[in-house]
Amino acid sequence: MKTILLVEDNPDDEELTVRALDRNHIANAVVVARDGQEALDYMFGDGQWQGRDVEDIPSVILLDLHLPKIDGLEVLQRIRADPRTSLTPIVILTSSMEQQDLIQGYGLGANSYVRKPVEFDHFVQAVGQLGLYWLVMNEVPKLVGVA
Amino acid sequence: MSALGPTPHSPKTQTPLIDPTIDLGWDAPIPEVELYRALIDAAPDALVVVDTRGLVRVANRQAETLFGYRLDELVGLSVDVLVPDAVRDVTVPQNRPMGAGVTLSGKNRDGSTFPVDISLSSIKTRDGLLVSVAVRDITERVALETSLAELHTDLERRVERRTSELVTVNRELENFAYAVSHDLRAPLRAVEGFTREILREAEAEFRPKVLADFRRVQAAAKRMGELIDDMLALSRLTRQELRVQRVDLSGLVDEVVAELRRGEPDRVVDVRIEDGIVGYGDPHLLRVAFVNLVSNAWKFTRNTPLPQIGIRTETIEGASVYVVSDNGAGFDMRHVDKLFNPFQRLHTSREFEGNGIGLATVHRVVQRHNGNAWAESVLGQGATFRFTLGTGRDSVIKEGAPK
Repeated sequence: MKTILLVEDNPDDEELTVRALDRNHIANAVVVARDGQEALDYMFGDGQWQGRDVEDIPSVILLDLHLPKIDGLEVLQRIRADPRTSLTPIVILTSSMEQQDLIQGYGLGANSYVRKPVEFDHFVQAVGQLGLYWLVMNEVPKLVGVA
Repeated sequence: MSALGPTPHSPKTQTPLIDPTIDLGWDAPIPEVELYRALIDAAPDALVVVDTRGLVRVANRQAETLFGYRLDELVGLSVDVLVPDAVRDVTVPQNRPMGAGVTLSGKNRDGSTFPVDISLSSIKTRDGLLVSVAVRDITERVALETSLAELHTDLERRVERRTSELVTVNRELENFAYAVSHDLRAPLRAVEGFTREILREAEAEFRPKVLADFRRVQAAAKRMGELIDDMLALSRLTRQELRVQRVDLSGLVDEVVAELRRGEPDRVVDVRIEDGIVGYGDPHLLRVAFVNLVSNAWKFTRNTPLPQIGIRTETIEGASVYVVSDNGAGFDMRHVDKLFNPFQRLHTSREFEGNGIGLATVHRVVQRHNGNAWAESVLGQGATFRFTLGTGRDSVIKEGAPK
């Protein structure tokens, strides 16, 4: 089963997201990157993820926007720019509902944009819908020997 | 004659400008040389008359004072000594008004120079061509112009600085809104989420009083989340660009009312919307304003036996005014000045729920349209809100006859 890459710097939000996934019986392994650099290292097999099989892309990336070192929008941009990772489903998961973040997020190729609600029950529902869509319904195209 | 009538005109003795009792001798010949001397000495400017060689032939008192030479010293002096470069070729007849051309300088006997305006006019005489040179000291004017120019530059610098300050403040506001939306909500999620998790895991282990307290924590977190969202929405109203267009307000209010009826299908409210109200403004912002005004009317008529809400237009002093009125709870007119302040409430949340952001929002919308908003009420009998829009000369266009 493919992993879920959760890019989240806030430990509380990390814990709540993991529990929300649990609550929805989503059993995929969750890899947590705590800043933008870690997320890119995971995707490109760099740093602490040196040697990781880059072709094994996550089933979905849950990406916060406001991140240390490299912010979420730049992470998104770099993943989309590299042919090895460009097709990875990316869901922006953030507190911000600022218009400019939404527009930029979609503009840079985010598949979905979810605002983290204050109420945990709503969050559990939102994560459940995400899981249903990206882990069950959605077929990610396979990269077969690009000439 | 009545005391209120016009005051009778009383002839006053006036001192005449010319005393008719002094006889100058009407037909007596005027000595021309003295007249001419008196006239040139009475001129406001320094005056020298030069010949074709450029030598001063005649000068007046003001020339004496301005250049520091005595009259007898001035006569015979080259005009170049007094106003260098001012008079090039006196043989060429010329007439030039004061102030035309470049700034010239005059030169005093003591060597000091000063800015002057010079006007030249040629005088043809039997003995040949003369040129009269009128010289005006413009030191004060030049100083004034310089200080004016400095003032102007200073003003421009200030405007520039203020503008950049405003830009900074705006950017700070953006950053603040961003921080509020992102950073303040995160801990709130933790408070709400983990409280819920505690209850989920161990609800059975707590006494009812403790459980009630947990619920209060959750409710407070949820409420704070809503307040943050409202605050953000209000700040967005200020930052958002205004897109003015023709808006069908009757239709817009119809939709708003329909939504309220869907929310509370059991309530019977008599809502009367004037037909054909059209306004010029930002459709999104105008919707926000009417949603708040009509929802308020809806809310505050909750305890009224036969609730009525009216949406219409009026014309006050030639200006079109939008009116939303109800026969609900109303408010105390003593607090009317606080009505439009953000987070200001005139009812307790036990009486009517709310966060005091609705009318502040209406006010902000109206302000952004260069309009005014005001309200009146009789406590217990209802409230009437009025506002104008400053966007477009005819903010209200009536189409079709009212119902």
